[in-house]
Amino acid sequence: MERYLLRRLLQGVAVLWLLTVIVFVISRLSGNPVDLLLPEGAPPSQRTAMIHELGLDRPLPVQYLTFLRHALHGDFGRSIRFQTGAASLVLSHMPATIELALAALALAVVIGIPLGVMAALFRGRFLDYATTTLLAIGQAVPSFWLAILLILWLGVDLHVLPIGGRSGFESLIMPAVTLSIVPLVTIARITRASVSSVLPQDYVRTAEAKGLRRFTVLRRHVLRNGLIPVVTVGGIAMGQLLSGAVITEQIFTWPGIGWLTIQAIEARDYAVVQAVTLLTAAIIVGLNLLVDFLYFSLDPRIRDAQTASG
Amino acid sequence: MHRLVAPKRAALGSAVALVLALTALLVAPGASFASGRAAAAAANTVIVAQSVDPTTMDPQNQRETTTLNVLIHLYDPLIKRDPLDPKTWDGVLATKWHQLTPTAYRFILRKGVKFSDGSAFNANTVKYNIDRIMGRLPGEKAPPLAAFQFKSINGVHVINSTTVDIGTSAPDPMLLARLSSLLMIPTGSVNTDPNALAAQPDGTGPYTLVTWDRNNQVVMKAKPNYFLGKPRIQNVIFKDMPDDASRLAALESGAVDIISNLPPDNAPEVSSGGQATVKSVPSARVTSLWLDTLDVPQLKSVKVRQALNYAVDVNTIIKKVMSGYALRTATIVPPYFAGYSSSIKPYPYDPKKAKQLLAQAGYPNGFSMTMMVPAGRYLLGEQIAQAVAGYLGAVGVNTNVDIVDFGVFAKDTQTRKIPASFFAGWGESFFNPIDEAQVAIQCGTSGFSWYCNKNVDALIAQAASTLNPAKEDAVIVKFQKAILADPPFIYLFAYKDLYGVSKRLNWTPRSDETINMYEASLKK
Repeated sequence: MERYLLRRLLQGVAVLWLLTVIVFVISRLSGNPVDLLLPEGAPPSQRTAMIHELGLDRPLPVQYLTFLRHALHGDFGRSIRFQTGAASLVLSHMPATIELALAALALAVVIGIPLGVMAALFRGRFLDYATTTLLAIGQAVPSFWLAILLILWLGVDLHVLPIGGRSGFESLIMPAVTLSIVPLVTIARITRASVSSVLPQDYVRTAEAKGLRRFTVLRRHVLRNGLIPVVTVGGIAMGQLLSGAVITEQIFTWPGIGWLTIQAIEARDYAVVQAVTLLTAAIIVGLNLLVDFLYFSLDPRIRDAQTASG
Repeated sequence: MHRLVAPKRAALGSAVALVLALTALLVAPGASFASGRAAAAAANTVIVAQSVDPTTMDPQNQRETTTLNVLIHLYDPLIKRDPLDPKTWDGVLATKWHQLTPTAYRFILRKGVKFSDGSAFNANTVKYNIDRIMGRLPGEKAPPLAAFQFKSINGVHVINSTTVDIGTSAPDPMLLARLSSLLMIPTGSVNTDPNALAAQPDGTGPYTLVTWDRNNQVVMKAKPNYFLGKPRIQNVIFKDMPDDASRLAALESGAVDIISNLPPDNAPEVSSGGQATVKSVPSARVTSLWLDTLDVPQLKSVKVRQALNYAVDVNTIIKKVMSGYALRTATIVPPYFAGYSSSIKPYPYDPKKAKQLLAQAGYPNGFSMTMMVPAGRYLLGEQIAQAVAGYLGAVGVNTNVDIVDFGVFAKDTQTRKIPASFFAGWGESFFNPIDEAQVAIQCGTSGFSWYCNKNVDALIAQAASTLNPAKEDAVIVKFQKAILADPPFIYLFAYKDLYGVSKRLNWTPRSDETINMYEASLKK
């Protein structure tokens, strides 16, 4: 097991390194921050001077190695647009994104799993059809549209929730609901499929036959086995949520890293683009490792298989 | 930044039922709502929504109006443009000023003004500020983003604590305009750390910073002892709201009091909503289509460029694309700029004449060219460019509109790799066309110019050194006649800026795009 996890850890490091190369090259392909910062009337000498000052006239490999060396020491450079440290800028936007992601995931899990279980238990009956129809619609609704509907209805017409910004619990509700729809639908569908496949198993029938209460069967035998795929999906969803919900954050003016990323890309603010990409990639890699680990503890079969082969 | 998709409330219809059901399902458990009505309704607090957060709190190292709008509440210039008459000046930190020689102005400063940190404002402060933008502070370079605007200044002399002389290397009729954008920082404030002011502002302005929550909001409160009188509005909040539809919704719900860059097609929605009114003001941003008259063989011909100007029905574009919110300009000079004259008439729409001229120039069957336009940068820029391309196509000039990201646009113009033409709107904070002309019309490979006419250059140079306003106006009129006959651009119009303004607020928008709440008050 340790060897397996170690291998996964090394793979994670390799992914992050590859990413530094990709982000570095792509961000430099489409223009530079100096052209965007300087006004139209700025003399070419000033442009040259500023490019030199920022070190953007050095060969790309040299720039890359400098960046990598600094990044390994936790220094991601300065934001050209916001004139402050890139790492601290990204970190200062992180709490908002984490708060939103956790709220959305909590909604998705708390509502998605019971919906999926219900649909599986009433498979082929009205409740199942009603649930799956609702889920299909939920999956089809674009988040920007849902967001604007919520704003117009709860914010403009009913005046019960603030329209944007981050100012306490009330301001969290609409963005969290908007953001929760996609993971909620995914979790509910996976739960329904997985629980459906567990219900006809022999051990479930045995458990029922030995007279266990229906709820106990569900909890101890059905869900315990049926929720393993849900853990994977939840982990992936959390990674996606943490990398910043660009559209949702923008519409609700939620000061998280999704909105920061868009601004950084538009301004060709290399330092911030690099910092935000690496940080979120590190989080996603970490979450995947966590999911792997959870698998081990949840399912002895995987543990044994991996230990035998790895 | 302007984005053009806006929600249509009429489209809600049946979908509301579904959303209702979903939302009730999702938020019902345990959620107790207090009133969500945001702080705008709070007495004596005004909230302004802008599309981006300020980039810095250092007034001398920024060049975005959205940043400047916050900073003018915290800092003061020596003088500022009169809000109602952009050609006259009001004293702020200076009480009097006059010209000593063609290359020097004397300023008499206000006494007893203090910065937020308690330090005094005096003639040495002015010297410190001028030294900074000239790059003369020991060990510090001139701040790169704004310094070049002050390039005509070559010296500053402190006469006594309230008198200071500012000199220029040559007569500069735009000196006062330049100085009005120099917001004063305290002496020594950037000595130890050139970035000291970036997050911690320290100015003499009517407000002080309470909090700056990046990408969320800037909260400011009034200084009761401000030297021009206590601000009538106690708290001013600038909120960062990137999405057009969200800004509009926020205004309609009363959560914010002012939104800028209102798209013209949303104006009726604001007017009918009941919470707010639409206010418009002719803007100092003039749109044109730049033509590469140096490298593109067809565009080297004066007749072709005249033909292109005859070919476009600008008035119809104003009516249809801009919903009427624009002002036709004959050249690049709207009525409120120096040198405007009603005797300079725009090219009439005359496609027959355009075809004749093209034939005379040797292109009876027209030609093809590409027109670049940056996405989302200028209000309705893509649509305007498409409309112009349609008119050009009608006289045989097949125009391919290339919509690019603004980063690409900036790179291509700065590195001089443009296609045959591009669309841009030039915001002219000096209200004087010579500033744009020096960059975009004057010969030379530098700057933003793809045009060269020695006669026009001579007129630009003459206007740029004529200090008597009446004489300068006369030169600018001559300059306009010259660029009308030999056009560097297809001339279009000046924008009108549209604002959605809450009905509880007394505020008149300004032509220079700034939003200054010291000039506003709340209705009783």
